[in-house]
Amino acid sequence: MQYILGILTVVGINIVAVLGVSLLIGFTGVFTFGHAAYMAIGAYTSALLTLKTGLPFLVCLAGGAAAAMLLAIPIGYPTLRLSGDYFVVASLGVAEIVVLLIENMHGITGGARGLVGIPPKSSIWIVWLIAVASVVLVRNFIDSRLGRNCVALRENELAAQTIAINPFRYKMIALIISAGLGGLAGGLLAHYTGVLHPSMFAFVKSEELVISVIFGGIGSVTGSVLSAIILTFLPEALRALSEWRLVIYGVLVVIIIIARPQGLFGYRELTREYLRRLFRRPQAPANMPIGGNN
Amino acid sequence: MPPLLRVSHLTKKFGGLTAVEDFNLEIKPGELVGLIGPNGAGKTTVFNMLTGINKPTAGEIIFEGKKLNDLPPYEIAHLGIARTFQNIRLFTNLTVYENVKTACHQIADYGILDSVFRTAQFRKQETAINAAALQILKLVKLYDRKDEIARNLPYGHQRRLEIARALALRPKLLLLDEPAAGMNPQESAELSEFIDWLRKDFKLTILLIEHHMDVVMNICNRVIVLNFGKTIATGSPAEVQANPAVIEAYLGDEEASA
Repeated sequence: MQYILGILTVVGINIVAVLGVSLLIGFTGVFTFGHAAYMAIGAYTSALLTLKTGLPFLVCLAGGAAAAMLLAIPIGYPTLRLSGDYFVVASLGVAEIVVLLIENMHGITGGARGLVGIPPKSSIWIVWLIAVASVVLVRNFIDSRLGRNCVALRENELAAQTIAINPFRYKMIALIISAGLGGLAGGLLAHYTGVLHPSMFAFVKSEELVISVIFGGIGSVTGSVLSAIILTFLPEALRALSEWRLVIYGVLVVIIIIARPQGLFGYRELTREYLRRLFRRPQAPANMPIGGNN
Repeated sequence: MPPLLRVSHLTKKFGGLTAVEDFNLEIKPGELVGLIGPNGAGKTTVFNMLTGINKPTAGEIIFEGKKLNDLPPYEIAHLGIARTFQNIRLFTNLTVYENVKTACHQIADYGILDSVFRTAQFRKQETAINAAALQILKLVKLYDRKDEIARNLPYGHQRRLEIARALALRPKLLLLDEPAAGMNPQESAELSEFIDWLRKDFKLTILLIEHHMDVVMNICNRVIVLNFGKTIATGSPAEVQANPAVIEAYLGDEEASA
């Protein structure tokens, strides 16, 4: 039971992190390969706040999220004005730098030996409360003029500009919110595991987040949530296969991408209406698009 | 009446190629001006300069007394110049309704906190956006298809949706880049009626690139003819049609190939 509750807590934490990446990749069309950096900053900042200041848990969590958002500003500011590739490369680089810094700042972070003794304050209730709140707030953001402007950038940046949308501004907004969610997830993780180690935020973690978004489907909040749930449970279910775990995980992801390139719910939300239509009749084939779009 | 748009000595060079040379244009409010010329004459480059997508090499673009040369596209759009594209650029994965709603964003000015917490201000302004978007969809007769995904629309409807999205900006000047491309004679006749009606009912000023001569000749007040980046004729549709240089460069070609 304790084991299941533990997995459920991690599921909640992953939902928050994946949601952040989903907003950026899935809704704004800005690709990131270094989102673990924001989780790391959030995790270490909130853990250190708890250990050194003893402030209330929620304040420390907010501090972690705020630190991650602050980190996003110098990363996004110079690169989001340029074409997409620059930001991807910068995000990769920054993620490596953050991990290296944490490893080398022994005095503060515990370095490669890790940071231990963080009080386990991330109860399943708090985690799920925050996860559900994040889903609702992100959903609200997307379904507003600001969110629609982000989506317009994903769909066609040039056309978006011709309807008076400033690409830099909305990419920056999406990045900062996304980093905040990453930092929040990091803080929750730190107070769940009780120990932090730089390797928890290595490239693999960033990659996992990207895979979760693609697997769930671009432009779908419910897809991302579902995908976070499935992809957190999957490795646990495969635990019996020990070292073959990641191989099978990888193969499954590849199969999904080949069989369903749009992900579980590409550009769609899992709503009651959607389910009703799905079970009533097979979907009519979509009309062939006529005329180019790019 | 002062001109809405004044373009003087506009030139664009791409490396060694002069795409547009010494282009001059004045449009008064409410006018419908046609820009014609053979393929590669530089018409779209003129549009791209007017909308900030390409920076002019030389010359000046003045819109309502403001110089546009160095402004980014989104600021020019904000000032009131909307456009459509020759190769349609819709938000293809969104519905028809969402396409137009997105373009109505300037109606609202609520912030992030209003949006995530759904404040009263958010709800009020969103209601206004929805109403404006639906009204435009009715105008362009896409209301019945508002929940269809844009990419699934038939070609003619995609063109109309792009115009609807441009109208959602409530522009003062509308630039239409070959709106009748790929349309049959009946569709293009309907379209010219629609454009003419837009100009009158919306008091819009329109600059139109078009290959369909019937569209241009029926509804334009004035026509400018480009060839190899140079302006070879300007005047009323009838004058331009009778101009020997135009016949040679453009209409003549068509006759020869017919």
